[in-house]
Amino acid sequence: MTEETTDNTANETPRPYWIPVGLEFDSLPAEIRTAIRGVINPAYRELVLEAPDGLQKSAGVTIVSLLWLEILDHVQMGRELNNPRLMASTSDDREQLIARHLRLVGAKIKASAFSLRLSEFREKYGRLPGEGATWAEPTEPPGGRPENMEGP
Amino acid sequence: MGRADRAAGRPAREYGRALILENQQCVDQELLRKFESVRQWILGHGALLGKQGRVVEAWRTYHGRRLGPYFRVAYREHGRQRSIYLGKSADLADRVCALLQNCQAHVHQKRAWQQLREQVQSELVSNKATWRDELTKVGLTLKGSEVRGWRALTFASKAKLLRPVLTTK
Repeated sequence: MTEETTDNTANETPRPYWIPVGLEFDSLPAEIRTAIRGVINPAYRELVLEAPDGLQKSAGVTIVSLLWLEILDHVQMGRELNNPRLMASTSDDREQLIARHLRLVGAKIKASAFSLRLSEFREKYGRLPGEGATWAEPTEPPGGRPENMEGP
Repeated sequence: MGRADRAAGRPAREYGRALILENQQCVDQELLRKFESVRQWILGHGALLGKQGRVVEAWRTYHGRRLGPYFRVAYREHGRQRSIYLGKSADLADRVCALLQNCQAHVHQKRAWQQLREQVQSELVSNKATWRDELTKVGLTLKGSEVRGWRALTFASKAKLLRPVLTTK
């Protein structure tokens, strides 16, 4: 592994754990390495490492996996467009590829929407019914605190 | 060259070295010729050998002696196994092997890409399973990639917030 790669992978963020140990980071195509450094690692840090609990973390990991797949598809499609030898053999194949990609993007949007909705929900109602008391109760219930309401 | 040297009365050792060099050059030229013909054939059949075909080595037994390796390019055409004989030269076999790898690079690349994608895909499946478990704990369900059960959850949370108010009244 070169010095440059070591610096990039060590300084920015931990290398995503799903890259198998046997797989050399340097052996990945340049576009993928750039995407890992520029897109996936920051997303992983924000959505997984900085997530406060298991639910957020598990949602974050799913989003990052979807993002990873999306980037792989982007690069593959870009390469195929540039190189006719790599181009999917028929238009049906290309259509399938694009349809798969759109499904993937849809799934990523839904998972991201969950993450946002969960944050909104917690701001509004505090912790979820099944959660432990790790979450602080909201200062105000929706519509303002009733005059005689007991609580923290 | 050899005869000229001998005629010029050069020492036997020098003559022998020149002969070896001359033979080596002949062998190299023969290999080059052979490689060129194989190369032309492979490039002419790019559609066929761009996806399959490899250099294989084989051994023969003659009077109890194991001979070889003998190299050939093995490939399939119309469902039949065919081959081009390369001979005993490992050098020629290496060159042809490199040429075939170059022709098939995009196939290997695509395969490696596919493997990487499958790996990430399987990770995604296990990550989603974990996410589903976490959602179940709080009363939500995962349908495809969509989370359902928000309405019941909102209702439960509102009821929980209003319970102290109601009990006081």
